[in-house]
Amino acid sequence: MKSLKPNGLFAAALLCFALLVSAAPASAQTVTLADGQILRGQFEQKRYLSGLANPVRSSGTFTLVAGRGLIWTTTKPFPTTTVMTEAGLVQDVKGKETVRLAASRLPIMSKLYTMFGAALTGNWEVMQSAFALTRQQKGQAWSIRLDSLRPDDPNLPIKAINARGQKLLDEVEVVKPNDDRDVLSFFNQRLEGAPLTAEEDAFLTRAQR
Amino acid sequence: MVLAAGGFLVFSFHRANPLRTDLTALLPLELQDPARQKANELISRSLARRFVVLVSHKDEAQARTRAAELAAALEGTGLVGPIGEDFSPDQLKKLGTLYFPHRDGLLSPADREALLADQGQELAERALAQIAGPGVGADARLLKTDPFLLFPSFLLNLPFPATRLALEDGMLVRRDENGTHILLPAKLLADPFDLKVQEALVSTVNRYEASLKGSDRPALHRLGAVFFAEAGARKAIDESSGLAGLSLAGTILLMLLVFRGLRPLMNNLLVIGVGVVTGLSACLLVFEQVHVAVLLFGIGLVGIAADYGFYYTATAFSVGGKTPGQRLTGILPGLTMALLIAVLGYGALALAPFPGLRQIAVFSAVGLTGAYLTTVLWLPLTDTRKAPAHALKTLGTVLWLSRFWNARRWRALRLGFCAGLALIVAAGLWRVEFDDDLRKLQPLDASLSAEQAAIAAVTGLNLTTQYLLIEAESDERALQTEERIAPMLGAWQQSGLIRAAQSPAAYVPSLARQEENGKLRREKLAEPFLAELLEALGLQAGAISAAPEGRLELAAALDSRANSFLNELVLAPGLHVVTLQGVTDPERIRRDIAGMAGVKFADPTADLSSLLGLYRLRALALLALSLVVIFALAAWRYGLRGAARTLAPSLAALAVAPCALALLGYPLTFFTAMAMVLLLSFTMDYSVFCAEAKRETRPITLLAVWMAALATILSFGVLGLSSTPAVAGFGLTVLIGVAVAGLLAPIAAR
Repeated sequence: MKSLKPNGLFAAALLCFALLVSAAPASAQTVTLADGQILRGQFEQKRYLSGLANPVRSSGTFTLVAGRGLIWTTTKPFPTTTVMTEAGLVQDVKGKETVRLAASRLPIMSKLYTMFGAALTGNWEVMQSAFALTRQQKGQAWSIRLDSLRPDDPNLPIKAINARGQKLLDEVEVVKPNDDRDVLSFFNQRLEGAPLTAEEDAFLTRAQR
Repeated sequence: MVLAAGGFLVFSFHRANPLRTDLTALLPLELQDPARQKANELISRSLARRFVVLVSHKDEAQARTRAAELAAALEGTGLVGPIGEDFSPDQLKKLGTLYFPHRDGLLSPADREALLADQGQELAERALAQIAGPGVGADARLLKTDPFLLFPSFLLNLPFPATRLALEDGMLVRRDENGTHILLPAKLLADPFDLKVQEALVSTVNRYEASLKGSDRPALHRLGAVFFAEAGARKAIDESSGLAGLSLAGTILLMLLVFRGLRPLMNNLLVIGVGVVTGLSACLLVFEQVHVAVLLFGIGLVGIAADYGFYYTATAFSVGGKTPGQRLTGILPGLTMALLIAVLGYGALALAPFPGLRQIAVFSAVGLTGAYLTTVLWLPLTDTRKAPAHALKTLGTVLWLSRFWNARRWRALRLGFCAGLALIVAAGLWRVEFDDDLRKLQPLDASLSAEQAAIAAVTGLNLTTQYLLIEAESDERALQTEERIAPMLGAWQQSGLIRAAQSPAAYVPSLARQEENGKLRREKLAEPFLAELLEALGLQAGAISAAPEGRLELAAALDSRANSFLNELVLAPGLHVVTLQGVTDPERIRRDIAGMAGVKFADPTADLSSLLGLYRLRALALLALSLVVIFALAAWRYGLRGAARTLAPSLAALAVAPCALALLGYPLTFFTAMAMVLLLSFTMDYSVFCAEAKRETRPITLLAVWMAALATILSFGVLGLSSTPAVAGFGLTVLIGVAVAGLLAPIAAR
């Protein structure tokens, strides 16, 4: 009998982390979000799971609010909203809360947020304790590769992260130890100072509880 | 005999320290409820072994380094298990390995509710959302074995004690505006109530704390029964050695002043020494261990043994050149009668089912007999004294003092004294209050309580002492009971009556519940929605490996030791504990569970307090019983009127002491009641000596009685200075009672 580790969950949480980092402006030269500033954009995610013929696809929009959290709104295959804050992760399906991962229960969630803050300031170096970083810059375009220093660590089940972009992040690939991988593409990103919608504010407030 | 007893003592203390410091060792054996007694014992044993130290520093790296150093130092004592072992990644792996094969019957409470409410569709959608959404979705391997992702949901909803700490790189960490806090959770491998263990552990922490110098040192906070026990024992030992020194010095001074010679002093110390050595060794022989409190109490009590020595020594003051043998014969009836009454009085203590009181009873009965035999067999042999030069003068003083009770001119003063006593009783009787709250009688160390509060503020961690006790014929039945009360626990949590609860059934559902869960999963989820989910995922039905139907037995979960919390909640087959955190209204809980079979609310501190209340009543009943027995004995020897006269001083003492205490603002506690039981025995000595004495030896008898009373006041009255209210109340009761009885003793003379 194969035994499955509950760490699958932590792996999942870490995946969120990878996404968070990748959603941030990823180069030292590029934008740093000031507190309260908002980065909006669209995403498309392809999740390749070994044993499944086709990737699981999803797409939607995201809103990253510096100092508060990330709202990840999936519109396809069906409406889902995932909100990540310092307090943890909350997921709504059709307007009903179905998942709540408190940072106090999933300790990794608080680490996630610490690193998330660091990443917001364009500080990839915070990943150096766990990953070997390789950067490349070609004119406007940059790419970065993160290779796990301990691919067997059950608490950090990510083998590698590949990210590339120009002014902002364009695409990121997260590879897990069993070679499952997520490929995320981002479009139409824009930095705004404008206030949040009431709905977004309510999401963040509820998730921060 | 004495040498043998001494040898046994040396042997006992050499082999292992037989002194106990835990309060539970003093507790009654005969509780109304053996299951609760066992639960209390087991829980205090396992909880008492846990302790935590919080290391705080502005700088995270510093905090980590210091925490690691302290952890190494603690582990280095060999008394502490690997620190943080319950929180290691390894432990999580063990949990997964334990539960995964049995996932078919495991559902989180919310998922179960959803299926019961026919909301399977929502669970299916949640699974899809997780699979497609950012993160959270699991890998293909998990999907093929648990397509609805119910297993992660179950694991995440296990009710682990909620704290504000996060596990980071093997350490439990919290950051706030004051810096980084690291919690070291530890488990003692040795008995936390063993004085040696306490000292070794506390000195390790103290040494480490002292080795940190400068303004940059981290703050250390500690929490655990072992620290409270150490502080309590240290305080008791410090205080009692001070008080014992005071009382010994006073007694020696008293003997030197009255007897004026080294030999009488040595003889009387010999009587006391023999009493302590034989009493303590008898106690060890019978009980193997002696509580520190019993030792202190017993030594004070054997100070009463000095009465016999005093009485004999005082006879040397008699004129007429009697031989030592003749002098002994003169007082032998008084001595024997006094011993008989004392042994009977202390024998009454053995009836109270407190191990501590039984120890005192054995200690006193054997110690007093030893002292009596020493006085009778030994003192006349070493006594070569003639009446000392100051004898006449001393006796003259005593005689002059005793006139107070028969001289006509003191009549007004006599009446005034008696009226004063009556006034105290009249005024105090209405103020007597009963209070057995243990927290007031034995307050916890203030600085440790402050550290406990600091740790609770940072971590959200609290010591739990309140719980529900579940009793059933088997584990399965107990788990079913817990499942029945689970909705009530949820409601309590909702309404703020409790903050959290941990129940064994939340970790391992009953077999019946697992069976039901498996059926729910099949009928309400898999059959209607699996095909749809697989299609959305692009998975073939054949790729799914169905969960095996084997159920998880509680015994297997316990054996795996994957969850140390669970092992602490299951005390014995069918005897479980549901711990309650942050109880705000114990009375509501008692009301809510009233009438539920096999469910009891336990609040050990409150239980102990009400138990003390019960035993206060019993002690007072014992006192009444002793009075009846003693009156019968006295009536047989002195006639009814003589008996009334003999008992008068004791009765006055017993009436005045608690009333005077009430006027001073002390409540009547179990300890006061015990002091009154002993008071009867002490004061009967004086009356019996006086009643047995012939008219011509009365001054000698009174000299002995007043010396004995003074010695008692010195040995017990000083306890009134103790900062522990229970001990102070005890000391003051004896102080006031003995003073009253000593002054009234001449009334008993024929």
